[in-house]
Amino acid sequence: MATPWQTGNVPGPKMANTLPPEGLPKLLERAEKPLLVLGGNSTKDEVGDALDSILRLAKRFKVQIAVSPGVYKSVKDRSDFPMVCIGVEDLTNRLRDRGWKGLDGKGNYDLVLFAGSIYYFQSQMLATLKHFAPHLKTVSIDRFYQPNADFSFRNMNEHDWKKSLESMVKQHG
Amino acid sequence: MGKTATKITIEEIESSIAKVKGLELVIGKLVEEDWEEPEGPTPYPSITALRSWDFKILERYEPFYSPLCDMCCLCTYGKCDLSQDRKGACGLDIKAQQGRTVLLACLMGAAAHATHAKHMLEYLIDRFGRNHPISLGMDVDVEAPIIRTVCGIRPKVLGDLEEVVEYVGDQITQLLAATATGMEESYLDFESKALHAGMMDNVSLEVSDLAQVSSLPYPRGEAEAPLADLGMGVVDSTKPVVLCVGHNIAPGAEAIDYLEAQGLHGKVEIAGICCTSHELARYSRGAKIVGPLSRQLLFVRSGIADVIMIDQECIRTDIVEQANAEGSRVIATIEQVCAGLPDRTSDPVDAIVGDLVSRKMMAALIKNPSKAGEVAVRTAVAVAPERRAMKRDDEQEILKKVLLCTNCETCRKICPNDLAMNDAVSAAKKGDLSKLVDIYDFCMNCGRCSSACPQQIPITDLLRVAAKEKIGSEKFKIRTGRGPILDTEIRNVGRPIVMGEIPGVVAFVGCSNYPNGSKELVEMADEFAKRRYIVVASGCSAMDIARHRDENGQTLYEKYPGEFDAGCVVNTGSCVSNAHIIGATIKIANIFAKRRLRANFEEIADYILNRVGAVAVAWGAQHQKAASIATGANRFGIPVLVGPHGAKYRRAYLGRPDFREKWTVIDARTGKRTFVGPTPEHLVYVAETKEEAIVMAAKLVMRPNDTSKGRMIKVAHYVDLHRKMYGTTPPDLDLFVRSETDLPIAMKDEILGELKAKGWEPMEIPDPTLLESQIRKVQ
Repeated sequence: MATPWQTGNVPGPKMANTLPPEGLPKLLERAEKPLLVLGGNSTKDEVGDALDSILRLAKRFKVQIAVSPGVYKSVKDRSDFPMVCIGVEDLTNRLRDRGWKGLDGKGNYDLVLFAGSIYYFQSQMLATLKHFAPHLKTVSIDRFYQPNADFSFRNMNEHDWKKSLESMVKQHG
Repeated sequence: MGKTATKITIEEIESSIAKVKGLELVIGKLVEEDWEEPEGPTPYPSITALRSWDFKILERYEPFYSPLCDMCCLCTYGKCDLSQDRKGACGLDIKAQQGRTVLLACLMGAAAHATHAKHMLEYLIDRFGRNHPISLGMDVDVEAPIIRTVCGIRPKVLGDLEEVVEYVGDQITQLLAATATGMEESYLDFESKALHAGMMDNVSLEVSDLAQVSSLPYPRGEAEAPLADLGMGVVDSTKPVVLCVGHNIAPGAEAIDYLEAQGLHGKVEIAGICCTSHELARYSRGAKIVGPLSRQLLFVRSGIADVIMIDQECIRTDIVEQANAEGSRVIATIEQVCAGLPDRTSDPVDAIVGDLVSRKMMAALIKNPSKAGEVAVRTAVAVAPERRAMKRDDEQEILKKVLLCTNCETCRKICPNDLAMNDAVSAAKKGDLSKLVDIYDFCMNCGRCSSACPQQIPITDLLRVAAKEKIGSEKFKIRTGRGPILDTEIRNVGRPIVMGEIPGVVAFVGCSNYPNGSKELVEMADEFAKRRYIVVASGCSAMDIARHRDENGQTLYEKYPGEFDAGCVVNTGSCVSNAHIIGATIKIANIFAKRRLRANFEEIADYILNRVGAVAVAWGAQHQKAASIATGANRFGIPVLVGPHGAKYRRAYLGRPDFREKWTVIDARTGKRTFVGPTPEHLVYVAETKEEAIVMAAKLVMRPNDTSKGRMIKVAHYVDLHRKMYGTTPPDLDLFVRSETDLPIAMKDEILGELKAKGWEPMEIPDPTLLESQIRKVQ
């Protein structure tokens, strides 16, 4: 069992299955309607450096993109792929509703990827979905293990994380 | 039941000895004969008396739970794992457990404020007598809007507040009982009870500030309350220093009084951290404000304080250890915080001072504020020369400890804000302190990194040493907490607020647990002040707003006037002064709209929710008290925005703007249900970034009652901020624009085209209410 990045953030016995980065494309291929949620730190520091790889992967696997409002302007400048500006808590509230029509008006999602949120905030949103949205699977693709997701990358150093995203892009992009 | 009374009315009775007509006997409490307002339906409401109101708002703003823990560990059946739809051994599921936990948090907060109120009242009655008049000055007739609305009394003397405190204590006990195993089971009822706990909190806030402003030489609503010194660098460490930490003025006030009585005024520094410092500055112009909660560990570890007096709430629970390590003496002053110390309350002052000075003991419990104040001053004066002469912590020794760093990342992984402390310490190891200096602005000084470092590197001390120059230069001006909002101010702004012409009241409240340092708070406040919203601040937020200067070298308190008016920045004071912020919204209902307050909670809350465009921003909310204050405000119909750490409160109250049926109100003129759009959209919302908070606040001040002119102004700000922060026009304008006249002229053609393309249709502007009782009877 992996250790949460913020070591005190142990929710209970049910914690995320660790997902090796190379397993992500398989999940995406199997998903019928995936969504990528880019959080408020998406353009900062290390996430900012890896954002292009994340966006290219989303494009390759036809993943819809929702962006936290605070970084929407700068994320949008970095991709021509359509994306929706929506508060992550507002979005999480809608995701937990099985009957929600989705950002495209065509129904809720079956796989939701999270990246670039503030760690503890993302953890709380994932906790909501873990308990109240059994109809969807969640995946954290940040370099920090998120115990409340269904699947999460293990804690990785910045270099390995970026490299694994880049190699996925090379392989599937 | 709350404080009850038996009322006997005899219209006419004739006996052999007398004929009695129109006799009213009330046993158990005072009845005010000269209050022209008739008593409303809910005097001293019981824990379920306002349940129907709660359910109305909870139906629209459904609780959104984010469990921080999947377990329940509260009884010996446990631990119970509540994940995957499991129930605990008692039958509770994860949803109810979250409601229960939220209720517990609100009760902790409410109990802390209720205890504060009790202490204040006892202290002030002891000093000034039970018959000391309640007065907030010539310009405040509605002195206790919360107490009037909730309890149905109009307190005239301090003694009148005793029954309020007694009522609050009784309610908190009853609510706490509901959290025991085998009691309440419904998450909605837990939430209703949390709303009641929040209301008890708000009542307690008002008791505290009403009593102290009435009794002590505090500002009484003066817009130009004096400026006070604030910052880590304002304390003159060449003098003896007494530091007060917490919220209760009593021991600090006694220290100041003792200094004045002894002719020592100005010869000893009296400084404060957290809300006690607001109170000290309100009490005495010479008192210094070190800063908010986030400065506590840093300042205590600086060793500048000779004596630290702790009172209640937000005190580090290792303060005695931290202070004693620096040779500072500690005096605990309140029964709730005994800190394991010997109780010296009954001992003579000379004996206690002697023991503290001689180091026979380094800390003591003195439950008498007057004695504590005297001991603090005399001890500080006695120990200061020796402490100044001592070679204080060797900065080089602290810096040398960085060599032990193995860059294991424990400090980062333990940091609430995920600060890359390991990088900063590693850089320091190579002789570069700049990263530590940079991190200082973002560190909330919780000290977890120091506590967890496997190499025992004192990281907090390291920050202090590295950022020494920056810390020493922190000298700012804050406007002293002015307390009440004047009735005259309400008369001036009531109409433009209710009509929407002043775009809103934005209150920056709560603690200092910010995601990215305190500067964001200042940027938010500045954004709204320059757009001519009414900006109000209290507690740690009010202090942090003063901790940054603009390009002209001014803090917001120097830049903007202190009136409760458009384009002003008001510091009401400590966190108990939040009562005046909530109170201002109530006073708008009463003074402007002539709504009766007396025991008339539902009507007033309904008025605020539908008409008063106020929102609170608790960007660094951390304490349970922030949860209880906010939950009380929610019951009054005031939305609250919190920063990302606020997600750890486990519960938001979120609206669903896409559920059209949720956004109807009753038109009081006709009784018809009318769609009004999501106004306000949420009651508690967690914003992830400053930008999101700014735009959301601009949206949350919209109310169904806005006039077209008012809505046009609010929409203009919402659109402008959305474009500025997000680079796009809001996609949901169709929900907020009710007619073409709601559209800002400069944007009209462009937006109208977009609206029409979405199939937008004009909406009515009703006389909005959620209460059937407000439908006017048609003759």
